[in-house]
Amino acid sequence: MPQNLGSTLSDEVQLLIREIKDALFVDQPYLEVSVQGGAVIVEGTYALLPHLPLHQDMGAFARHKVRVTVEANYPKTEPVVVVLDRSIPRKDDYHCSSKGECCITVFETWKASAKDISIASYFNGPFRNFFLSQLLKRRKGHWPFDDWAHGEEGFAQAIAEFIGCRSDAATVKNILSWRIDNECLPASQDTQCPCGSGETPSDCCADLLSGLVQRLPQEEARHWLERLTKKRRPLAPREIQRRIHKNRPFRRIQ
Amino acid sequence: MNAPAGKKITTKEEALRALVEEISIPPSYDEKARTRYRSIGEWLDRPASTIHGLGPVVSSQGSFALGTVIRPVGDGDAYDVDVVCSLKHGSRSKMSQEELKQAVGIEIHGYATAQNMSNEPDDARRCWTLEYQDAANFHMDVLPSIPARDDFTSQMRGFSPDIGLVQRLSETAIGITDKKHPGYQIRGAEWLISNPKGYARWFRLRQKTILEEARLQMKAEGRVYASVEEIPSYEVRTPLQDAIKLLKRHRDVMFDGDKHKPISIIITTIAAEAYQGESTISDTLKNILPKMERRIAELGDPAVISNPSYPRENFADKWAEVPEKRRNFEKWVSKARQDFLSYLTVSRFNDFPEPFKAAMTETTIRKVSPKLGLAAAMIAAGTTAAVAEAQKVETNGNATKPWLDIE
Repeated sequence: MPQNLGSTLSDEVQLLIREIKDALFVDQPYLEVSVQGGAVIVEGTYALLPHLPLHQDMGAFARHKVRVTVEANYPKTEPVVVVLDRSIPRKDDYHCSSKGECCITVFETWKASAKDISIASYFNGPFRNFFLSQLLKRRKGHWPFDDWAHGEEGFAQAIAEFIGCRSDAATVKNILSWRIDNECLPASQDTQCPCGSGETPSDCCADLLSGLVQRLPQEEARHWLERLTKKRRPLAPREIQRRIHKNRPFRRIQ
Repeated sequence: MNAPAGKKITTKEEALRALVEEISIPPSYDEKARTRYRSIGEWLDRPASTIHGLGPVVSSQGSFALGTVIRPVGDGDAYDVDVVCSLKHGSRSKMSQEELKQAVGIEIHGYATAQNMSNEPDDARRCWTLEYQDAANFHMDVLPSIPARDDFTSQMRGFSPDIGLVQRLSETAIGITDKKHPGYQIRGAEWLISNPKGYARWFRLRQKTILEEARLQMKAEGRVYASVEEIPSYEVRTPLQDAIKLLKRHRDVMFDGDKHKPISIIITTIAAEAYQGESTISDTLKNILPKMERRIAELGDPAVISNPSYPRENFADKWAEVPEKRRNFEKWVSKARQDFLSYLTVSRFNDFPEPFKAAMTETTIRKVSPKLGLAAAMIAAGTTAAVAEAQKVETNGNATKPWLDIE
């Protein structure tokens, strides 16, 4: 059962609640905030609203019944977004699982690249973009901001875009491994560039690697690499059948 | 401004203005109220008046002074017009509260007789109440008072370090009569302090930008006021005044007949505190409602909402002894935020959500609904608008891509 917000809550949770209310109470009258097991739950009808003043008198573009679970340690942990109604087809193509779980974005690279990663920025950025994209996907047939491939492949693509390298998993893993082991560009001429060119880093991807050192902490690089190399749980036979039947196991990249 | 005949309402702002028009006191009644309290002022200061030598001055206070009067919800309900009768030359060393009350009372009785009023003036706890039995249906509360500059300054000593502010506020401070005050019958005893003029001044200064624009506009039209403080409340209508009227209507409907309903002075004070010079009713409500809700949620125990014109006075002083008042305010401000924002953000301009309709009353909605235009073009433009929004996200550099983590 959700706890009353008036009961004793940790400072961390209270601060998070305050930030969420500040972010949502201005224009989301149908979302309620509660606390459950140490996480903040945002539940109710999310109204996809126009932000352009020109469109304000139109009202909401769309409405979705949602439940968002935000752990107290946000932004360390990604919020879990579940659509509770059938306003979005529960299909891979719509980045929505059969249980209504939404794959909003690659949270790790968003965190590493966004100027502001507050919970307000999350709701106003990736969260809103997801529902805006759903609207345009349904009306116009394509994603306005493109989408990543599913699973490991898409994760590697997102990291490659962040780094600025080729998007094959091997290259991405090599560069992440290099970042984990290096605080700066190695002076030694014996070291090979992690991109696999055979050159030394200073003759090859020096700018890219220097930038990476600035932008990506080692701990984060380790986390990304672990996630990238983690063995995927085998698909359930029913899921395999479903994908074979659809004859498109993974989405082609645009 | 009401929508001209034939011209349909096509925006939320126009719809809100039309609603405010319906819930506001009709201009003829507003004029009548002002005529009546001026007439009382002239009566009290006529040469034959027993208090003429004390220099009586009558001015409005409360919602009439602030320009936030609304129609009562029930047809039979009366307008409460609050006025202050201040005796410029009165002093607590010369008279007790009771003597002041009776001195003013003699003249108020004389006025009622001269005006052939059917009911005797009522000797209420703090004021004299005149009942006007006509279509306008006013209750006029006349509050006897004397200047209290020195008492105000000494009471505020040690309470506010801002000496300049205290001096400014003291200029309009008054001592008022109260039958339940222990020194009611004693000459020289302390009096209760109030500062309605100071409050009205503070309320205007919260809207200085808007009022300054209005002042310049009026100047161009030949109506000259030296400062925004001199513009009468009936001369200009501001988004904050209109927003407060809508909030008061919402409160009246939600707590019809409940004696522990949220009081207007707290609604007005926290709304004005939250106001940041927005130029439309819609923007004003969107800004102030979440802030008002947070302000109430973050109040300590006991709750303190200070009177900006007399900071020692706590508008929420009764919440400690009657917790229902606090709970009601919390419930109301949360519901008001939901009901107004459900229209202002989520709904189309011509589609009032049900809770919003209920809050404004069916009668009011029925008067405004026929004026609402159609939204066919707006509906057709939906996809184009969504594309424009997506382009805005791209331009802002906030675009993100979804993916599917199939683990």
